[in-house]
Amino acid sequence: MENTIKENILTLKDVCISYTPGQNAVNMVTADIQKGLITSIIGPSGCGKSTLLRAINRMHELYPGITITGDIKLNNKDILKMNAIEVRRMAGMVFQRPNPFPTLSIYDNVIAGYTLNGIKKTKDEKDEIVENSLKNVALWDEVKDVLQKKGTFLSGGQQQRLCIARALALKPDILLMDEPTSALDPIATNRIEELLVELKKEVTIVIVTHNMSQAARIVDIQNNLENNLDIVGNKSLIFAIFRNLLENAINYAGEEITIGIKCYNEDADYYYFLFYDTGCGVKPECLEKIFDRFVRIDQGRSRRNGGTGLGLSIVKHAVMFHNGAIEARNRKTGGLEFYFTLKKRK
Amino acid sequence: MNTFTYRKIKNASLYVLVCLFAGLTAVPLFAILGQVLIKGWRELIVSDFFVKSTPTTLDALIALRSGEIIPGGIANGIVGTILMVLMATFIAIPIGIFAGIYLAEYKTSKYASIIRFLTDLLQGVPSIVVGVVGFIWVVIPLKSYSALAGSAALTVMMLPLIIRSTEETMKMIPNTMKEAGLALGTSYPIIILRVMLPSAFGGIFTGVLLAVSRVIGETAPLMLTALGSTMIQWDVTRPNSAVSLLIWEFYNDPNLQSLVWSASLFLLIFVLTLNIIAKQIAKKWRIQ
Repeated sequence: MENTIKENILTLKDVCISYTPGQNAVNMVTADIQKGLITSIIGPSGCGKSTLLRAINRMHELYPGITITGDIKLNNKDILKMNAIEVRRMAGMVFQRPNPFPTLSIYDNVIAGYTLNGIKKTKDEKDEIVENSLKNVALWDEVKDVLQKKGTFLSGGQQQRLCIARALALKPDILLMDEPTSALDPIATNRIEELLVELKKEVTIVIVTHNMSQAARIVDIQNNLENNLDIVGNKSLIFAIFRNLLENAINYAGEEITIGIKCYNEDADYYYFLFYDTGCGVKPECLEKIFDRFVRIDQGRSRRNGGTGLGLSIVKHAVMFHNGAIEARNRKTGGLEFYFTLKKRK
Repeated sequence: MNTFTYRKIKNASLYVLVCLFAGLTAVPLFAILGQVLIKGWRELIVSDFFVKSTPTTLDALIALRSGEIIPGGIANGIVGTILMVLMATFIAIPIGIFAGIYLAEYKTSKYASIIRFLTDLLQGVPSIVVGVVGFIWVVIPLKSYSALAGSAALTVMMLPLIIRSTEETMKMIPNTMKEAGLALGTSYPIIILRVMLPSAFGGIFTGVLLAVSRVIGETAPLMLTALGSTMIQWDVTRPNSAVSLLIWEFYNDPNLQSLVWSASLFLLIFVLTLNIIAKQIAKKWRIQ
């Protein structure tokens, strides 16, 4: 992660949200969201991720009976003391399902934040805003000839990018995204993920996701694998090796880590892989146990993150299934590394 | 016979029965249309029918004797119907739509559930009772039967239909639409007026058309409020006629009875057309 000046744009302190009195959907959350970064909120379904996100731009006020306690400060101002409309203009939002306004054209959808709010702009200014916003979401080239068509004619992925453009047009300080790709196919999802990395330059992003690979992008991953590795074996098991290692690192290694993988050696039969993270590592006495089933090192941490304790066990068995070997070590500079082998195609 | 063939036969016979009864529902409509068409088309194609007002009994009698088509038409009725229905629609649309929005937006409030209940009751009130109330509230204070009184009665009949169709359509609009607007920092009333209402336009417009086609055929409330008129009447404070009222009058006049069919045919075609248009709009503008 680059060294930017770490300035908090959003701070949450002891935030509790409840739908029914006495039952907190979100319990005592404290967090600092830094400017210029993508921060993701990860967790299982129903754990209150979206609830927390929606509290940030006071979307809960639509529904009676929801109580929010604690401090949410946006740009050092308490959002509960600000005008709701002002808060929502500072914090744009993109929803799970694309929701362009069905009666408006693509052009009008992008500019809707201005027209609906009665902000007067000249035609040229509007054209510029629309063009810039659509270029930001990489939609301009696809729709520049059909700007006057209804937004609902676009595909799901395009609609979602249109919604992102609509939120960006208002130049928010922070963009809240509530599982923005959950209703999209993998290709559309990829495009939006790529987009997020681009958008990081323009706006701070808080994203709710339960898609690990989406979160993984936001951790710094260094993939040093050559493209011409020719591994033989069971496809889904080999996939499980890499995925479980990755999820394990994301879940347990800590924050702001670098994860890397490389193939450091090969001989006649095997490729030798090194997978490492720069996180907190594990205690030496626990190293042997991490491949055992249902073992979770550092109980407190895994309880917070969930998980069955099966991930690394699966990795080990998958490697052994292919007649390989795997070993875990603590790195000297901190973090954990895994050495393992996979069979080469002859 | 094995169980399998028995089942097949049972299945087939039930299927035939169901189709038959489903088809039976179409019979009354076609019977009515056919009957009215056969007996009423002759007067309807005479150009006078739409521009002249009701003939007197005597004129009709003379025409009947000489075997000619009855002179005159239902222009007075058409004018009255259009006047009263238009006035009623203009009054009922804003009230109905705003009430519908209220019911949809405050689903859970106690006041809303009371209003919703009363709306349902209003829909169930017999139309003749609406006429009586219109008579007491409008005709007596104004000291005259009038198109105004007629349209007041029709408004009351239209309101529940418009309210409920607006409410249902607004409820169908996904909440995400509202959230999308709110997330852009738009105020609540603006979202309702500029985002929700346009999205609901198709449903609301269909509801209005159906309400119009419903009251266009109403006779009972008009008998006691608009009374009727033998000539074309544009003054809304004077008694006025309506196509449905004319049908009743033609029926009561032995010499004019053949006009019953042509007036009915006209009314039927008008209402059916409105219904078909409403269906098409509902299809085209349905909420995505």
